[in-house]
Amino acid sequence: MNTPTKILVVDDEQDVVDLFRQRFRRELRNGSVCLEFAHCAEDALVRVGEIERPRVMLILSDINMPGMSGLELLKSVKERWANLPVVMVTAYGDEENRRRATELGAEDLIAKPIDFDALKARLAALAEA
Amino acid sequence: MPDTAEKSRRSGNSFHFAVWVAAAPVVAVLLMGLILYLGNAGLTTVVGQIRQIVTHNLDGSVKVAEIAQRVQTINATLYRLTTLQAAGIKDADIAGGLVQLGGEVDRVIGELGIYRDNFANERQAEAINQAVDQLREYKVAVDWVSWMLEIDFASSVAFIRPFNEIFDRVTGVLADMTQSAVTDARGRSDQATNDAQQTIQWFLIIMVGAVIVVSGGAWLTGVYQQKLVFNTRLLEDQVAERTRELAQRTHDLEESLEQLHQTQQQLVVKEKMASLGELTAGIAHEIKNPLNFVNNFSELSVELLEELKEAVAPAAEALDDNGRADIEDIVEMLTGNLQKIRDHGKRADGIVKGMLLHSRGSTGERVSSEINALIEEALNLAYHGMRAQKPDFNVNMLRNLDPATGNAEVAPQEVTRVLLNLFANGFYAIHQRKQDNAEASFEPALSVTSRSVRDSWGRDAVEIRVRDNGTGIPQSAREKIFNPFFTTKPPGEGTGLGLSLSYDVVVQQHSGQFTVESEEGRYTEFTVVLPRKAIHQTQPSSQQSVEALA
Repeated sequence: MNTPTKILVVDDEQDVVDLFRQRFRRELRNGSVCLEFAHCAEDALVRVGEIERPRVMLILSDINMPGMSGLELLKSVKERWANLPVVMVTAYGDEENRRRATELGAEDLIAKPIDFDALKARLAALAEA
Repeated sequence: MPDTAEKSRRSGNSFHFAVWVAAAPVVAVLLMGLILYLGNAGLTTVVGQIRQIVTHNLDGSVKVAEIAQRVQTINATLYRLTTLQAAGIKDADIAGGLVQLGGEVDRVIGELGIYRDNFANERQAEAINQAVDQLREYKVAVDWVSWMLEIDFASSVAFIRPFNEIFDRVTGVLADMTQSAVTDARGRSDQATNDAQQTIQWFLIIMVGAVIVVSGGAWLTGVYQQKLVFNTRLLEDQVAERTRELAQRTHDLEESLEQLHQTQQQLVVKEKMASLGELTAGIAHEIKNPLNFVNNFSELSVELLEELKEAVAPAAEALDDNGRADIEDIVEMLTGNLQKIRDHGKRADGIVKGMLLHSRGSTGERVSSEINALIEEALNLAYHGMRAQKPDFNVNMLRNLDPATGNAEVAPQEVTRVLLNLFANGFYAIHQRKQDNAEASFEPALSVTSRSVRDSWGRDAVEIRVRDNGTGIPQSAREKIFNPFFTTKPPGEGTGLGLSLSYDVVVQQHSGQFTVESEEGRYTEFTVVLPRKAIHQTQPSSQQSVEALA
């Protein structure tokens, strides 16, 4: 694994940083995963443009956020970087959000609480592709 | 009741009608009788008068004729006497005859006076007066003759001769009068006859007129009466018709009002339940994120403790047994505590998930589903679920599933969830009752009935009744059972969301009806009515209301 998989986590909750760092502590230690954080959609949009993008990169975004919503972020990202995979996270897990996220080109929509084992499996599959 | 009243009123009317119809001829007959009586009386009077007049006049003419006769006799007597005198037959009788003659003349004068006073008209009275005057002169002459007779008969006879003329005149007057009296009597009789004729004519005319008027009146009365009766009948019919219409309308209105009240009640409850559901969902959203952190971090901490144990293992080797045991103990306890945090967090998460179901709105797609099949499936699931929890549980399950219930456009999973909930509640209530009392005769039973109905809006619908003979619902709890978090179960056993979610599914999502009937200690019966056809709503209201709450 020479190039790490980069994940840009977009969530207005500050504790998400700790949660992800601890959950991915092994992957971070062995350098297979690299985490970036943004606390609002606007910030995330700027960061996508700024940060170095490895071969495998993934945006993991919450939907409900103050200001720009996750779905609006998804739309903007897909307009500029159509091939950048975006996975939406929602507390609702309802049909309406799922439908709209899929329409806007999201790779997937996962419900909170995040099943990290499933997420890791998904990342592995993405890296191998 | 109104029919008999109607009949008696009708019969009363026909009685009145008969009286009216009979009255006209009766009045006519009475009137005719009166006229006949009056006419008869008038005729009798007229005839009497005629008879009187005729009798009177006849009496008069008879009297005159008699007087004339007597005057003639007087004259004849005088003539005989004078003749006898002239013949020289001197006789005492002559003097006596003359005296008699004088008396006779006086009587005739008196009778003429009587006749004049009683029978004569003016002209006749005048003639009588003249005749009386002349007769008086004649009497004077007669008296004088009888006086002269003693002295000188010859001169007395010579003297007496001119009196014959007077006498002739009187006789003439009397003859005239007799004629006149007869003519007069005839004239009066004719007059009276004419009068009678006229009276009779008038009487006939009046009678005919009266008969015409009466019969005309009777006819008009009859016609009018008939018209009146006809109109009255028509009017009565119209009134009856109107009354019926009004009664029907009143009935309809009452029904509408009743339905309106029911709908209002349902709307109030529905609105309350909707806002409660939304509030619940809103709270769930707010709790979910922090709860996720609690769960995540507790889980992570367990993992981290595992790693810590591994990491400190070499260092622990250096410690003595006590120290190592201490460390292991503490790590063990920390792990246990974290697991407890996670377990309770999971429990809270389960509740939150249930609460969130309130916000899902009508997500389940409505497909035509066989209701009886859904019932069977849910009943089996619920029964086995109950048996798994309480292996000694037993119940007599009655299925009254009408094949005519057929299919309805519903969200099958949601409806199954509602049915599961109802069955589970029923089983729980039965189980509780069995535990609560030692009634040997208690036979646990749960029945489910399905049939095709029309709901209170008249829509084609299916009805599902779930009845258990368990503990029943106390009156105080009956209004709250659909409220979120209302439960009578001990903590940890029920979330109090089952019925509130079921209510959401039936009333909000399927626009159906959800009602309960219960008697404490005897039974509980839930009735679910679902319209057969899905009504497509543009957007469930839950989203908007969440915004409103926020």
